[in-house]
Amino acid sequence: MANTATASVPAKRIRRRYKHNKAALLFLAPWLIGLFCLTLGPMIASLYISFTDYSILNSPSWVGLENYKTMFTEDKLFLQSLKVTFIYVLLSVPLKLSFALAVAMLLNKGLKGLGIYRTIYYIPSLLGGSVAIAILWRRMFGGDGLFNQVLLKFGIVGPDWVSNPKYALYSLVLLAVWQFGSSMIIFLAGLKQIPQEYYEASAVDGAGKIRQFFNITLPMLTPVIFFNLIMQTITAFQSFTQAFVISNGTGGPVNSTLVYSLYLYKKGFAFFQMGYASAMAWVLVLLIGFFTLLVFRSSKAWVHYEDGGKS
Amino acid sequence: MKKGIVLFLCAALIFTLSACGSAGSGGQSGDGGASGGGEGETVELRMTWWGSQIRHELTMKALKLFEEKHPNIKIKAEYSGWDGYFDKLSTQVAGSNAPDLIQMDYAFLTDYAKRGALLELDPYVEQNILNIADHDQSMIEAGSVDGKLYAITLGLNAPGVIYNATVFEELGIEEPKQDWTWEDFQNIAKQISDAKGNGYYGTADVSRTANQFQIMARQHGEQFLEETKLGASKETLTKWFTMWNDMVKSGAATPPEVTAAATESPETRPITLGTAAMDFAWSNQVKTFQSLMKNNDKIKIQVIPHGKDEKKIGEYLKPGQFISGYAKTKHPKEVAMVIDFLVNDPEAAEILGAERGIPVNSKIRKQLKSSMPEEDQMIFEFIDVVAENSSLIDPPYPQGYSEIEKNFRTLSEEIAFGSKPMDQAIDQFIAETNKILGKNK
Repeated sequence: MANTATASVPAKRIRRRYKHNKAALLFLAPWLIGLFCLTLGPMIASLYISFTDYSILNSPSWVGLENYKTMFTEDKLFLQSLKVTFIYVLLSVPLKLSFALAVAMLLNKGLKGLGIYRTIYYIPSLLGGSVAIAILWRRMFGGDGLFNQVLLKFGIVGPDWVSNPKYALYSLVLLAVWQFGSSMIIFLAGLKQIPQEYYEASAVDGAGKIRQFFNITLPMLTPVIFFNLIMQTITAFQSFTQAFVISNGTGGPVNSTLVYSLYLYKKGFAFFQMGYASAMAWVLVLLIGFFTLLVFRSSKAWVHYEDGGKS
Repeated sequence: MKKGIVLFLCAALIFTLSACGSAGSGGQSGDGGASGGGEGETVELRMTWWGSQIRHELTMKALKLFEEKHPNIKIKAEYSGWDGYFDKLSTQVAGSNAPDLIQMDYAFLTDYAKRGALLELDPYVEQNILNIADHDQSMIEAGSVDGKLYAITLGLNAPGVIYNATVFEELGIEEPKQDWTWEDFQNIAKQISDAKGNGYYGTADVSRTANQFQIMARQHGEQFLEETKLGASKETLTKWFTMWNDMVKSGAATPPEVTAAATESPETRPITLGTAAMDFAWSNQVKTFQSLMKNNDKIKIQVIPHGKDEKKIGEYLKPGQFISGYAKTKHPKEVAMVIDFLVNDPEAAEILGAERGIPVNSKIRKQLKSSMPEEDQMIFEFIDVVAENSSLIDPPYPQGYSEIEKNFRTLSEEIAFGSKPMDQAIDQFIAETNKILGKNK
C-alpha cells in the first residue's frame, strides 16, 4: 500500500517535467534544426569526405587515410602553411592582448570622455575583419603607400611591406593587433571588478605602482586573461580574410602569407581537391583543440579565481 | 486549453520562420520564384564573365539588346576581374549554384568539362538553335573535349608584347620588328631603363606567368604540360628564369616587390602605372590598356620575341575566351540562344567589337573590319600577322593546371627574392609538377 503511494508520486513528477520539456523543445526547434542541418550535418559530411578523393563534381571515392598521410609526409606547402600560421598566432595573440591590457589600464584611470575613447579603440575590431579594411591595409603598406610616405618624411626608405616576403606576414600581424578593441573592452570590465580596497591597502603598506600591477592587477585579471587568450588563439588559428585579400588570394609572395585556412581554401576550391581540404579542416580542429587543452591544463597553475575555488 | 493555444502558436511560428529561411536563401540560386518554368513566362538567366570595365559596359549593352529582342528572357550579370574568377566559379560549382552562362578560358576548359560542369552544346547545334556553320574549324575543335562541344570561342586573340610607343619615340628607340629576338628584347629593355632611370623599368617582369613561359617552351619544340608529365625541359626552365633574373638585376625589368604587387588586371600593371614601357599581354587587351594609359600615351603591340635558332615559332592563335553553359542550368535552350546571339548576331558584333578578340564567325569578321575604329584595326592587323607567323596552339592544359600554375608563380618568386637557389627551386618544381600530372594516368 505504502509502496504504491510513494511509487506513483515520483511518476507524476516525472510526467510534469516532461510536459515542460515539450514546450522548451518546440521553442528550441528552429535552433536545433539549424544546428543539425547547418552545423552538425556538414561536419559529419566533411569528416566522411576527408577520407575520400573528391573533386567537387565527380563523386567522392574512398581513399582512407591517404589525405592525412600525404599532408604530413609529402606536402611541403602544408608544412609552410603551418609555419606561417604558428608565427602569426604566436606573434599576434600576445601582442594583441598586451596592447588591450595596456590601453584598458590607461582608460581605467577614469578620464573624461572615456566612452568616446572606448568606442574609438573598439571600432577597428568591428571593421577589421572586413574585405574593405584589408584592401585599405594593402594600399597603405604597399610600396608607395601612406606608411612609406610618412617614413620618407623622416628620411627612411621603407620596403614594400606587403609584397616583400620578409615583411608581408608582419603587416598581417599588425592588422590583427590593430583589432585589440574587443579584448580591451573585456579587460576593462575585468579591471573594474578589482576592489579598490586592495590597492588602498597595498598603498598603505608602501607598494609602488609596479608592485601593485604584478601582485594585485595581474592575478585578479587572470580569469579574464584566460578567457581572452583562448578566444583570440582560436580566432587567430582560423584567420583567412585578411591574408586572402592582402595577398590577392595567392598566399604570397613566396607563400609567406599562406595561412592554414587560405591553403585549405585553395586546395578545396582552386585545385579541386575537396577531400584533402576536408582532411585539413579536421586537422585544424584537432590542432586548435590541442592548444586549447594545453591552455586549460596550464590554467590551474596561473589562474586565480576570486572565490578561491577551483575552475 | 491555454497550453494548447500556446503550443499551436509555437508550431506556427516555427513553420513560418523556416519557410522564410529557405525563401531567403533561394534568392541566391537560380530557382527563385520568378523564373519558374513553362513557355511564355519570364526566364531569368545568370551570366558571369571576367574583364575590364570596358568589357563590362559593352557586354551589358549587348545583353540589353538581346533582352529587347527576347522580352521573356532576362539576363542577370555577375562580372568581376580575372583574379579570383575561377576560385569563385569553382566555389559556385561546388555549391551547385553556378551561373547559367559562363565565360570560360582555354586553360581551365578541360578541368571543368571533364568534371561535368559544362553543358554539352551539340544537341543545340543539331536543333539549329546554335549556329556554327561560319565558325573557324580549328576554333570548334579548341572548344571541344573528348569530341563533345562545350565552349564557343568568343574572340580570337594572340599573345604579344605591348609597348608604350610614345616613350619609344621620346627616347629615340626603334620600335620592335616582327623578327626581333629575346636578345633584342633584353637590349631594348636595358636601353629604356638606363635612359629613364630612377624607378622606371624597361619591362614588367612576367617570369611568373606560366602562359608566357609556354611560348619559350614551344620555341624549343617542347609542350609545356603534357597529359601525364612535364614536357618542358630543365634547360628551358633555367633559360627562362636566368634571362629574367639577369634583367631584374640590371634594372631592365621590375624588381620583385613591384612585380609581386601587380596583379593580372590591366589597371595594376606597371605599364599602366607609368613605371615600365613594355609588358606581355593578349591582343584583345590592347583596347583596355590604351584607355588606361596616362597622358594619352600610344600603345602598340608586337609579336613575342623569337628564340635564336628556334625549332618553331612560339606565337599562336588562341581562343581568347569561350562562352559555355552550366551543365545544371534549368534553361539550356535559352542558354544556347544567348550564345548564338553573342557570336552570330551582326548587331551584337557591332557592340562587342574586338574587345574580346577577333570574332570567330568569318562573315562577321568581314563585316566588322571596315567599320572598326583605329585601335581595333590595329588588333585585326596584328592577328593577321600572327596568322602568318605562328604555329598551331598547344592542346588544352591537362587536369591539375590550377595547382601547377600556383607552383610556377611560387617558383618565380623564390628565384626573384633569392629565397632558394635557382637550380634547387627548379628541380623541386619539376618533381612536384610530375607528381601532380602523374595522377592523370
